[in-house]
Amino acid sequence: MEHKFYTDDFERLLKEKSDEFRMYPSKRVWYSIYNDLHPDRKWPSIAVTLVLVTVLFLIGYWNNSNNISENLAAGTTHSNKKIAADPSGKTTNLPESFLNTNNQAHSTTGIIAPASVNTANSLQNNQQETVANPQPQFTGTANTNVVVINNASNKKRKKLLITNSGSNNKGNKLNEDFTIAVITSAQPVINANNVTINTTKQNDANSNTTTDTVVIAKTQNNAEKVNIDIIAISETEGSDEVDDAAAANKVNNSLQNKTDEPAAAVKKESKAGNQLSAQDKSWMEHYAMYNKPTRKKWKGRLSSEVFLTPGVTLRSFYSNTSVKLSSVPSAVNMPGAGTAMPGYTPGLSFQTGAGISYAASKNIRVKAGVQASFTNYAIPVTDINHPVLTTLTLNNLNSGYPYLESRASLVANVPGHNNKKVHNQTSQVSIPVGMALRLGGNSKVEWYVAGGVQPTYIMGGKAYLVSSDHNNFVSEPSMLRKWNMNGSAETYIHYKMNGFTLQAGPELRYQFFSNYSGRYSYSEKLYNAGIKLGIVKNL
Amino acid sequence: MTEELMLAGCLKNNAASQEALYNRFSPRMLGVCYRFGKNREDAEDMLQEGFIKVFTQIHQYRNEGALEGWIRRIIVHTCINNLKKNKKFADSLDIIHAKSIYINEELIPSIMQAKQVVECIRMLPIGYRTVLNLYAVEGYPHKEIAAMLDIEESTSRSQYTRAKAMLEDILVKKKIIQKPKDRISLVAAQG
Repeated sequence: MEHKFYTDDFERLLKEKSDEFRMYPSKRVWYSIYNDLHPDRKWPSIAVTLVLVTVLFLIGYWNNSNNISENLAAGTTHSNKKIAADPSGKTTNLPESFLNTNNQAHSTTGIIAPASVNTANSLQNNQQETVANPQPQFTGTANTNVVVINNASNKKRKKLLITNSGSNNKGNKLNEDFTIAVITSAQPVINANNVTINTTKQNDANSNTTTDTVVIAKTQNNAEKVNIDIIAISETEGSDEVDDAAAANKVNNSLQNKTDEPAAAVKKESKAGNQLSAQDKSWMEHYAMYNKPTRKKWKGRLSSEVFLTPGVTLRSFYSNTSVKLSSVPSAVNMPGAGTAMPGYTPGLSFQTGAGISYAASKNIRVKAGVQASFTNYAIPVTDINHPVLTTLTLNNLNSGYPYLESRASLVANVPGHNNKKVHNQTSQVSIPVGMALRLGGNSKVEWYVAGGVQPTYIMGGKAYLVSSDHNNFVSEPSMLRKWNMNGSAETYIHYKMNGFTLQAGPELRYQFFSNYSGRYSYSEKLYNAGIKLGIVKNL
Repeated sequence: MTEELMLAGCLKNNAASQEALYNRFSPRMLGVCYRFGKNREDAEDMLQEGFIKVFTQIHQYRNEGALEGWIRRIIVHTCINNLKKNKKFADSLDIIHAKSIYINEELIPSIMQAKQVVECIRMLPIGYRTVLNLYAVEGYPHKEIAAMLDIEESTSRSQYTRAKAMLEDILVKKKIIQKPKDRISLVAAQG
């Protein structure tokens, strides 16, 4: 490429710095490539992976059990809890403020790792040890150290960047919301055996805040105490990524803004922060880059939603074809027989529920949830002042033949002067399961079509059944089918807002089986059409 | 393992050689993908797709240039193909649209050196960023960039000019580089 000479310093800078930049991919990438290139070797790798996962799980389980046992056996108190014991009998004590305030025994590990290292590779090894090794390590001979305290009970991790203050019982007062800090110290830190971490809480009446004074003291030969100041504390969920770089900024600012520390001390720390060695800078960059918890696979893919679908209920109503009306002569010969099939008026209905959806791919989401539905339509009838005898045509489920059963009716399907409406209603609970396909959109607005099935339990309702001669209606809620299956089809728009997404679009819900049991000689299938409104939140 | 051995093994579809080649080049190639992609996950997906192409097409490598350069070209093309699948990317190549984008400097991380420069590049609108990456970092001529992105050559030039101005502005404000323009240099290097 003949144009490839950089006449511009700016372009040269970009080129150089971009070429210097390295990132280390996760193991997942190589495994995916390997599986793609060698599909025949997939099963062994899956088996090995399963074995490894199982072994890691068991090791983790045993370690947790051991720690809890040790804590209980040692009779540790709430204010001075043992973190973990190392093989040579060294012990580390955990300050109260690092633990939950409840009185349960916690499995917690404390690790100190050196901050100054020579190469990126050794850094990565250190980081892996920091996460994986459950025992405290005080291997640092460098100026600064990172303490990572994992609290297994609440899955939170506290990171402390520490330095050696060299003075007794002197610690920095730090607000709890401090995260991570600049590493400063000119004095060597830990290289002996026993380390004690102590903390005291202080209430500041003026600012109405509580601050922790934290001192990590290492006892050498059980005599000399060396105090180590905590520069910063970060507390994170195990699964969350920590933006260490941003956090470092925050702490720098916080350190500068501290009012309860002598100004000189603050200046000293800030100045020291600007005089980092190249190695420390390199370490910080790599630490910020690589020492992040692995993102959970479902993170960002899972979302929850709540929705409400106001709409109307429609129905299809027809004679059950398995009923042989000709074999029921009394039905067709009754007075009034031949009256038209009863009409109805669509009524207001609604569905509401909650669910979760998982983004199986960029454009496909799998959904499941729980839904409550209310169906409702009206039948115009004439009120009869006194009960009349009528019949319902029912099926004998054993023989398949229809028969008549007498019932009393208070409403008629023939014109009269006392017009009113009766309502057929059901209350249902269902478990919708389905998929949504993204048709298009941008970062703000997306368009989906979705469909699914809804196994449904009918909890109850009102059922006015038309009589054999179509002249009357009989209230018979026991004829409602208890279990049904619905299908739904919908299309909707997602509109993303701050922290959540609004969803709106038309939905059609269709009942696959008759609303009534097989005994009734008519089939009725309900449709619900409505506008589904929802709020979606990413988990 | 030497490059020749790795190549010979890869040609025989040998897994150990493939892994050695991957381990040697993946950190730098992930850095390339990261400059083009939305985030780390996106970059790793591109890297995966790119290396699968590398291993399946390695018999096309003629030993006429550096192996790293050949791999890099495949990775860059994979990144571009991925970006082109995104409708937002096509929109972002529209200069008028890109002009309206505001860069929040506070979001630029305050960590040093190469990563800081790369993160500043990533703050640019995706269209600007892609052209700048291809021209200034990867060294493609505007004519080739225009062909790759299905745009006019003049569009590529103007995208680059604007991207460069925007990035310069960010880097100067973040005190990573100093003006005047003809004396651009790293602040840290002088300090």
